[in-house]
Amino acid sequence: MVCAHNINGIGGTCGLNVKVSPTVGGLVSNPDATVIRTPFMGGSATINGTAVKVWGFNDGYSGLQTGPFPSPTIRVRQGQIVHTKIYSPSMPHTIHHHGIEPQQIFDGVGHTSYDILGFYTYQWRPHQAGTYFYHCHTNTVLHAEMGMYGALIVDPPKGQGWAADNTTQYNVERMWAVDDIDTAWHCLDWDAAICGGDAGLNNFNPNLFCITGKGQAELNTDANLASPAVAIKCSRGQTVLLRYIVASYVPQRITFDSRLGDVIVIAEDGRVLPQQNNLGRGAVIIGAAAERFDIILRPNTAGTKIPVTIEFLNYRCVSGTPSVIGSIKGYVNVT
Amino acid sequence: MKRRDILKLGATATTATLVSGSVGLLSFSQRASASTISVVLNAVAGDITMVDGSSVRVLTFSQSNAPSFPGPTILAQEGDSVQVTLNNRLNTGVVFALGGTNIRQYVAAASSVTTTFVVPRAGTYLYYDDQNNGVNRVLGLHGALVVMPAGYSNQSFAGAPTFTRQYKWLIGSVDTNWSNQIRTNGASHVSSLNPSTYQPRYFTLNGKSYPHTDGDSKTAPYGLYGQAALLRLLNGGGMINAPHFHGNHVEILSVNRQNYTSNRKKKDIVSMFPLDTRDVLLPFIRPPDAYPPITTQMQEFPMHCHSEMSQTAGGGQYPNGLHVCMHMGMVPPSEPTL
Repeated sequence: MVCAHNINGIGGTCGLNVKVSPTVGGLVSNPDATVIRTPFMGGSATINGTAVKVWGFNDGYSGLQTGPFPSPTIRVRQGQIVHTKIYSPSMPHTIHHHGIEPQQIFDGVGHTSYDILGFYTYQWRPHQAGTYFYHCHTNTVLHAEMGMYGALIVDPPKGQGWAADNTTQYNVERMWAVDDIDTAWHCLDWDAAICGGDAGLNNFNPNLFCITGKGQAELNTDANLASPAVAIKCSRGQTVLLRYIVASYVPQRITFDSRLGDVIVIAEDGRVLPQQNNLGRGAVIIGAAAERFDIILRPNTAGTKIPVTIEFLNYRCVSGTPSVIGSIKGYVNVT
Repeated sequence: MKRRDILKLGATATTATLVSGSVGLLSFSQRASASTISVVLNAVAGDITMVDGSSVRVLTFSQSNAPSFPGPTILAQEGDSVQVTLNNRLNTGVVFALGGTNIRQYVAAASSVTTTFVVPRAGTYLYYDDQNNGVNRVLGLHGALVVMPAGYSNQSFAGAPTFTRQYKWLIGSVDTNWSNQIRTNGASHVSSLNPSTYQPRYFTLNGKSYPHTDGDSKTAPYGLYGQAALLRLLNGGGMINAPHFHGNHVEILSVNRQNYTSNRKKKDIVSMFPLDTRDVLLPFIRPPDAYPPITTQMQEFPMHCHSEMSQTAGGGQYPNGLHVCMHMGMVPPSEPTL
């Protein structure tokens, strides 16, 4: 799906607080980690064989109008003072570190701080390891749907290889950002209906589904599960950490094949559970929009393309009983 | 009201927070003994104004002849009885049902029934009309019953963490097409509405959308650091919601009236399917990932639903939906009631 044009310049800014490279006090001169993100708005992703226009962030300062979907992962360690620098040269955007709780001015919400044109630095210090994500919070309803999000991983003091609790060691790690896409939304303008008018942003009918940017067709044709972005490949007895991000706007019902063994949730929403939650074999997890689950699997049965089946539920649910509107399977190879 | 005026109103409300108010007033005081609480609920049809100025027809439980979206909150303590006199002024039957219980009373069109029940154990309950696969509820026939535990005025159940203030957050949603059909054809048209045709167009918390939520002392939470707020979430609407908290994770105390006395989860997303209730504690701690650390500075963070369609009004106008500002390090301009 190709849009003729959907960056018509800065039209309406109702409800926004657009500032050009605002300066704020309190920034340290020597942060422990620095991340740079440049928005792009002319990208394309192929999902289930369909080309979809996407927006997102590139790593570093970039003049590119294309880039990856989803956006590159931010990875830091618990306790570090982090600077996330945004460079937004043409259109206002923000970075909200979802689940991270910094000062208001570094929270990346336009109407409680700034919608950024130019440069800005968000300063934060994560106090708890876990799985988070980041996304643009300008006209969020559209910008997050367009793909302006990526994973945010905070490693515990022991570093990579250790789960959020700093005591569970893993051998294999995957991040699944599981998303729903309504292609009818993907030709809307940056400021769609922000000053009123009806852009249909209440009416969401996803027709494509993906795991970390890959649709079912892309996952299925990857016969050897060679794509490290999604496929989980492990040996029997190994410990897998699956960082599951519900990146969709509709809820998900996630069903683990019983061959994957016990499904153990050790953290949710960037917080270690007081007790590990062992849901057993063949477990089902219901995930609401933007929830995250840190899941430990220790598969002990060899198999190829063992599925994790994700069903997407209609957000309209008058009766209280949800209906399924789509699904996708992610795969695990156990040798 | 023009959008700019709406924003101005929001800004005024924010400024008002700088004026100090009295601290720690609770919206509930224990009584020494149980009593019977009498409530009159009139089932009425009427028009209410959405955040963009448009008028929508709703069916509600009200204490007057004007619509009340949502219905009035009934506040009781354990051991109390509630006597509900339901005057049905609609041309279709209505039901008063209490979620999670067997309490259910049908009232025929244009008639009245008085029913009395002993309140269930402490917790947050949705009362609603359960007919037509949820259609009646979603059109506005719902409200909250809050039962406080006997002997406690600042805990939601014995053993729960204490709170300084408590708020009811009742989620609703409005389909203008359905409203127009009810306006044209009357309340009895409820049985002709197909639940699968529902397309919500307005998204509300306690009947209001942002920024009007922020001017409402019953809805926008305030607290100095350490002054925890109990939030009682209920979903009376027709959408699956995912309230997301900036600034603080919340502690999950009760899920559909199942109380967690220990090992409580901390979440930044609270899953809310229709009919769900959740009691969560907003701790009002200093934002834990701030550097330099917050000491006493006032901070404002949104709570918004992350099923982002809910962040709109009339198909756009982000973020005028299920969205509210939480005011940290501040006392409220006026103390909340439920």
